[in-house]
Amino acid sequence: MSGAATGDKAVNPTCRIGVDIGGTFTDIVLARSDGRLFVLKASSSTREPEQAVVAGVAAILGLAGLPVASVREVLHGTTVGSNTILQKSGARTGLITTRGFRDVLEIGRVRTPDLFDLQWDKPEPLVRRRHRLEVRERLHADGSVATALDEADAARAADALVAGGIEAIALCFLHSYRNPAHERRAMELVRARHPGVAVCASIDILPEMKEYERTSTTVVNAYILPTMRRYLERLQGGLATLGVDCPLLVVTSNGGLARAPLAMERPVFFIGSGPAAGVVGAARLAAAAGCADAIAFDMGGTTAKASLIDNGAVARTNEYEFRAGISTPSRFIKAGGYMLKVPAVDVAEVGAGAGSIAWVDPAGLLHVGPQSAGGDPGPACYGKGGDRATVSDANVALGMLNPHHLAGGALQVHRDLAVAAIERDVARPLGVDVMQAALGIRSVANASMARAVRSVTVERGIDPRDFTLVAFGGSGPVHAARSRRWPVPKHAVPSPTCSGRRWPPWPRRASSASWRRCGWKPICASPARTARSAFSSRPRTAARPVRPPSPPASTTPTSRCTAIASTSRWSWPTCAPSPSAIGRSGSTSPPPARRRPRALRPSRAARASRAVVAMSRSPSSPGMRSGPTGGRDR
Amino acid sequence: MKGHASAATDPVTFAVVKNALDSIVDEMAYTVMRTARSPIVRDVLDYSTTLCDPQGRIVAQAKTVALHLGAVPDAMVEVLARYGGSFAPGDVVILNDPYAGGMHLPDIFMFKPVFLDERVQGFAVVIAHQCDMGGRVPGSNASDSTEIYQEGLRIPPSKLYEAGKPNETLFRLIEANVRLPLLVAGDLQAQLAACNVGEREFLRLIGRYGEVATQAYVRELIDYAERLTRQVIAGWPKGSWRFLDHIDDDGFSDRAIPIQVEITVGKDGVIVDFAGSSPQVTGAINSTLSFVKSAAYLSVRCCLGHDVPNNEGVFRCIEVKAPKGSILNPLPPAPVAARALTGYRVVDAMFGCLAQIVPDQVPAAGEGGNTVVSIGGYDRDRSPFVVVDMINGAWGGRPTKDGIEGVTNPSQNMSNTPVEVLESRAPVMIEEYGFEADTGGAGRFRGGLGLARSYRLLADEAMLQLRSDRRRFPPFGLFGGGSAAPTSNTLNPDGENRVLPSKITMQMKRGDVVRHVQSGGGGYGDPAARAASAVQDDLADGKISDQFARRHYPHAI
Repeated sequence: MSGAATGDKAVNPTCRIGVDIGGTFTDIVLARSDGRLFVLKASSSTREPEQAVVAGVAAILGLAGLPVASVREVLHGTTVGSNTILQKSGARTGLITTRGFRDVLEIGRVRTPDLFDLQWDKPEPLVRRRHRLEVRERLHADGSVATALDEADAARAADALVAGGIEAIALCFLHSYRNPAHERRAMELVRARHPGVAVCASIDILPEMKEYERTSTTVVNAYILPTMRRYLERLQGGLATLGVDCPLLVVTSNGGLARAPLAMERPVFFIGSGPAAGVVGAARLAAAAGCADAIAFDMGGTTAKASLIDNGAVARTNEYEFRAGISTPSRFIKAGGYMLKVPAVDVAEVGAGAGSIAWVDPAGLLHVGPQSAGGDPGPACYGKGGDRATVSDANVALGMLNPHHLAGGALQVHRDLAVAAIERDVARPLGVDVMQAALGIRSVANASMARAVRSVTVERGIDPRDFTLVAFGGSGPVHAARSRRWPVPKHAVPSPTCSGRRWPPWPRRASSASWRRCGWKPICASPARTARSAFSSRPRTAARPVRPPSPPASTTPTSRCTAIASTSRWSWPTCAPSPSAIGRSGSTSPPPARRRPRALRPSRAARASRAVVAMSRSPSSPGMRSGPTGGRDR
Repeated sequence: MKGHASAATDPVTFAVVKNALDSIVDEMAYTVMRTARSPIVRDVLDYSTTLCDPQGRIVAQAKTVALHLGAVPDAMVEVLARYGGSFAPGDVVILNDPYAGGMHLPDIFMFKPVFLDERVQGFAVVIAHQCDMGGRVPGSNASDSTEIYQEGLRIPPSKLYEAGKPNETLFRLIEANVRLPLLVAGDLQAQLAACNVGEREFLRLIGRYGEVATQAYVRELIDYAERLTRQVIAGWPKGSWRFLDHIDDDGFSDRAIPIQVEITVGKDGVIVDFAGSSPQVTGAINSTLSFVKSAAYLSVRCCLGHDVPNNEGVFRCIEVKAPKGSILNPLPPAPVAARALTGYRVVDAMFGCLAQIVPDQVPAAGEGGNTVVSIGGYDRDRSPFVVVDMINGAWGGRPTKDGIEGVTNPSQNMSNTPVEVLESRAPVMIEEYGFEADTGGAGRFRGGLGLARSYRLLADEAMLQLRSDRRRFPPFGLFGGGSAAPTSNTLNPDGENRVLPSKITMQMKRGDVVRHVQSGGGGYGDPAARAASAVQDDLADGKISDQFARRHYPHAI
């Protein structure tokens, strides 16, 4: 590197921006080419998720003091695809297929995921039988034509579907992977007649043998395509209006990256985008902390997910089934959900998140989820119109979460509303007091989450006690930290999620004791001390990287963005600073090299004790979510 | 490592060992799937994998064919009687003889003793349905044989490997007697690979927790399953209940074949007695007692709830009796190749009986077992082909919801052969594969629809062997629900449209089409109580016809 080049960099730093949209919060990370990192958290705009991104990118560029032209790429992990399937909110989808085979999609591979379960339910096909139409055409197994495509038949089928209100059409003919001619021609016909309808041919999605797998993957692609396309187009458009002129890269289900236009054509490869990004990040962070074997635990507003990181490698699979509720991917047992033959990070998921609604059935049994209040209206404590008791409400009532505000003050919390909702929905029906009810909600949620962790470890004969939990997502840490009943790793350290002076609200000693009992290392002090405990066996007085600013007197009413500006490569969360505070901390010069927190370097002792860093990105933690770069020691 | 006492009291380790064992058998199953050659094993998944303890008791079984489960103990008894005490590391034993531990000839059982030093720690067991075992009909599955000698090569417990050295004589004998030696040899290697995986992983588990502790956990796992089972049964009403179901015929006479079961619920166990069932029959639908036990075990197991491990502990609570010389406990040389059919009827009769004991748990009758279609012959270049295709299935209506359509019989958990795979391997074209309207029994919760599948022969000629049932005795409904539609077989539905018997072996010519329509499931509860919206949905989806709706659900029209 020449001195000139370095000089240029100093004058004109570039940056990369990472964006993750959760059900509740949108997180934005900006990495400057000079190594400085900026993090920003905004409330998600559920109906138009790109709005929060666009506003956030503008804000974080301001924080970083960089012009729009400096952005080299925008990286994005999205849950739009998976949410579309979970909420059954995809396009009204039709299927055109070979005569005699319209039921292939619904028959599937006829196995059940479990033996001896007579109450099992097969997932509802994404295309109803009335919308699966057959066309006269047939190929032999070698691709030669047995019956030519009846074009009038294909046109009729398309017209009938569109007349019935169908918005997306999947095409899958037998043996098309050997000879795509019929599918191509049918696609042309349908597109020409109905230019406004999304059309996906199976050969473009999965040109492989086995008609059910190909049909299912293609149908899912068609089902989510319009939603995903609209979303990415709006996002690109929004970024363009800001003047961002660089590729938008979307995380694929297997943890790679691809350009947005591909995600608009083949969204089925991006369904696991959000969780995959989290797992890859967790693997990087765990590696940086010196632990090769880890369990990534990601709890958001709607679901909780677990994945295995075995000897540094993220577990992957080349086909999986997407479904709501417990989903334990297995290479052998299938038939639980929508078959997707696409490469993906192996993630087990349970339908219990911070926004999961607690309810009591007529027989007096407490349930949590699978309905979720999401981020909007959100839990009762948000005071945004949601009035059902959720897991977050229980945490607020119990003092596990800041009873005044979350996300560094970006979000006001109304403990009284939480208590009232729990009282009405759970405590009274169960005949217990509010605190008992809240504890019950938490326990039920924890049991579900433990299933996710168990399914990637114990159920595969892997002893989780050899592993380290990396908890992240909105609520990962607040649940991971105190769940003694989990099959949890012994050595884990909850994150420095609680920052700010008035925090944490729960009795420190009690929690420390309970942590110790279950083998956790309690850390609930100042960020600096947290860093020490996480990475070093001995306290070092010199290690005071960033002094957290005082908690804000109030939040800025006009913007929901909370900014955390960092002056070192390892930044610690702060409560939302006032605009002037942002300016100050943003302009603070980096601490001299010798005063860099040596404690941040994972010590051998830390490695030995398999310290865990829990990342967090809200509401449990008014803080940042460290990106993969955050934990690296330089 | 850990001592016995602490081992038995550590619930976390117990859970890990339990799941590790389940994981080992699933890993074995996965190995078979990834290495097998024939579609019946690779795609249909007609095989199962098991771990046994040194005494031959089942410790864990993969989520494969449930009907194989109860047959392993009897097979282990034969193997231990023949070789017990004389095993050496590297030994591999196989058998398929129904009168020496087997079920029917195509199912080859393979056992590999797992050694730690000189001590047997257990057995890795893999059963796979070979695509051919010789005999007079391709697929070795015919229902119209009259002696076991017609059914193919019989293998009593024999060492396929002796201390790691292959028994060339046995290999050559098998290869000379089967129609598709490459596929059979390949599938045998797949079984062996899975046994090796089971051995390796089980030894790894022992290495981790120690021999004494692991065996203690294994014993505890069996006892635990027994405790859970007895707890559940203790909550059932006490007494005796009976149920009678029928098989249409054995393919030789028109005589209906009764399957009679009486279940007696005791304090914490059940006795299942098949006295009153038909004497053994001429055709090949006789079933070994081991297979009948499987069917009885799994039916009870379905009513125990989720968490009971599948092992010897469950079997201890269930006593199964069938008179000698009956269709459920035949004497040699009775033919048994198509015994699966009888096993399914045993399951149906068991569910019919259990519905009276635990009515909120049992669905109406399902399709009555898979239909097996074998088409074998020679292609243009005289190379042989054999298609063994299995059609499944539908569940009956359930206490709180409709039956499922397009689903395996709960006693199998087999898959289907993708049409694209089948057609690329044999000169056969599948012209249709879908639901047949009106085939599910009407009810408050209707039965699932039956499947239709038709086969066109693209070679000059071939032998067709088709085994179906439930034509005279369609799947029953429960508590007011209607029966499902009967099965049908038709030759050339678009031409001569000839009705074929339910069990048939016949010659097919080029261009012939055989269409099979399977039964659906029976209905559950009074059809008059079915929600009008559900009827309308079925109409819109073409799952029932206007006529059917008017006849059974006039209130919803």
